[in-house]
Amino acid sequence: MTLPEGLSAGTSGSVADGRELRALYDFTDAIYRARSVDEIYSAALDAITRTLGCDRASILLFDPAGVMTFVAWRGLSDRYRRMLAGHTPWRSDDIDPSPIFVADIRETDEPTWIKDEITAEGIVGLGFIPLTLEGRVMGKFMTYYRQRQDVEPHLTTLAVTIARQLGFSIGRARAEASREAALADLRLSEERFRLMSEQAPVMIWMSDPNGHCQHLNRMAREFWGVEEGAIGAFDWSSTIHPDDVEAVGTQMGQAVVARQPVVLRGRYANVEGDWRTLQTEARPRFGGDGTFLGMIGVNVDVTEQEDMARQRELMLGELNHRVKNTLAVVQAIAHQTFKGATPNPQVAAFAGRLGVLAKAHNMLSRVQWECTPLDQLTLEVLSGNPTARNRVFVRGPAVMLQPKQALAIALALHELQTNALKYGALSVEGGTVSVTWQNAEAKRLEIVWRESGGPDVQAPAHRGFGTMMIEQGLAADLDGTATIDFRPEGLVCRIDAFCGAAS
Amino acid sequence: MSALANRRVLVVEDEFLISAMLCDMLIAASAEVVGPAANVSAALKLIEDNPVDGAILDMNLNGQWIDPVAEALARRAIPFVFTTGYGTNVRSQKFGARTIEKPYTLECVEAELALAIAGSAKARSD
Repeated sequence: MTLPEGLSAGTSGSVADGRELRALYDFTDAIYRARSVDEIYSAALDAITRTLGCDRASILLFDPAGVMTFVAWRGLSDRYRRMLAGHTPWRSDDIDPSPIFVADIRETDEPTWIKDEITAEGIVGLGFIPLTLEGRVMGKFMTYYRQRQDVEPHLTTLAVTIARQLGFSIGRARAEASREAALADLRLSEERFRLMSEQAPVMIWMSDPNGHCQHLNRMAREFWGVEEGAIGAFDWSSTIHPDDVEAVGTQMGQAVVARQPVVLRGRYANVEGDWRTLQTEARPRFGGDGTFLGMIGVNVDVTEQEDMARQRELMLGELNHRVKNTLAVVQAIAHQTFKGATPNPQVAAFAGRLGVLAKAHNMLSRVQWECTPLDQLTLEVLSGNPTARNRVFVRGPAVMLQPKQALAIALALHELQTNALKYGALSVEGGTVSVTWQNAEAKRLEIVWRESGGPDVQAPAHRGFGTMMIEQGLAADLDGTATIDFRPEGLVCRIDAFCGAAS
Repeated sequence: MSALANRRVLVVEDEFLISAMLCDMLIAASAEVVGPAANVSAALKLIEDNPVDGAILDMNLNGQWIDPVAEALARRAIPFVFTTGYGTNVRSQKFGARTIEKPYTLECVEAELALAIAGSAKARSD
């Protein structure tokens, strides 16, 4: 920064004298020590009145709305400040304007009311010295003279010097204030996050790269009974159930080493010493430069959830047991009821159907009454009879069946097989059956049962129960159609179903 | 000739109708029925008092597990199969015995029990 003209040594007559230098020095010292903008203003007013030959002065800054506003003053009436606020020779976007000195306000062509107000305040001469920040006008300071005050280069130089110091100081104070505001915002947002973590209805934790605990939120601290100050010394792994130590340790260790997210469950002793099952979801944390900082994770207590799931499984198991027992009793009743005329083909047919129903039940209970793969179901139903072994070919893409569809298809396949064993391809040596399906179209499943190599087929005189069950019952259960075609070369059954959530 | 012909088969089953059907099935297969017993103590007494070649054991008798009967048979090296509505169960592994799921057919019972008896005879001769 170059010294303003007039302060440089050698320009005779305009060099600051000792008193002025003293005042400038005091000003510099005071703004250096200033703890607030008010202290800065006060020091500036001191310097202005001590060096610029006036006993009254003011500092004005553009407010956020762009209105020139008094921020500090000496010896001005309230009325004067009220009337003259907003009055400025510059706009906020003016760049590096020069000071203006008015020797006598009455000689200017300002509006009369302004002249009158100024005169009424006992002011004759005025100085307007712009305050700039990075070249732009942010305000001004004013000097007020009781007498005529002609422009004096020496005074102008001093005024500009003070204005630069003042402008710079205000800028610095503003920067400081905005930094503090930003810090306060940050603290607030940190506090908000801390509060969020503390109040969260799950356990939140952070560990260092070696797996040692760095942070536990309130719920986690309460679970383990760890004081906030003792988190660093807390050994979470010592609370794992002995039977889970290996699994939890291995999975967590692998995630830490591989720096991969992990989801795992394990039993941990809580502060009361009860075993609780926690589901942990953890992710690795990385610094800005990619350094591994450890893991961050959430633990959810799923003990009740697991108990409920177990209970449901138990109940489902019990229910399956009872259903199958009931099927067995029904079979036994049939056996007793139709006893005597042995062998009784009707009882055998009945027992066969009951058996298939039970088989399908077994399959469905194994998958908890969820979806069943069609290929497994087909093999299970058709594998029962040794004659059918190696003579039934099953082929098709992976298709999953709803329980109701699975039961219907199981019964239908059994009827077809029984018929084939009695009259069709499986009733003679060398006859074969192919069961194929496709679901080229989503939600449509086409199953084809095709017999070949059997005796010549003749359409039966009347449709038996099995045929009816397939053509009517199955079609309804599958929301589709089923047709049995008694072709001379071999029976063909075509099932077109609306189902089959593709696996 | 049935694989079970003249074999003395112990029947333990708490459901009367199922038990009666099972006995009929065994008689049809020319086996000799020992029992039937509907509870553990009756079954143990039958084992004490009768020579037995094989057994068909319902895994659960009115809420009581069949284990004491299975243990008594295992001690005497008498082969047996389980029947159950529960599906495959830990007992099947524990006693190294096959499990027949209810409801079952005569063919199935005959095949499984014959297999167990044959396996046991082979183990003895080895």
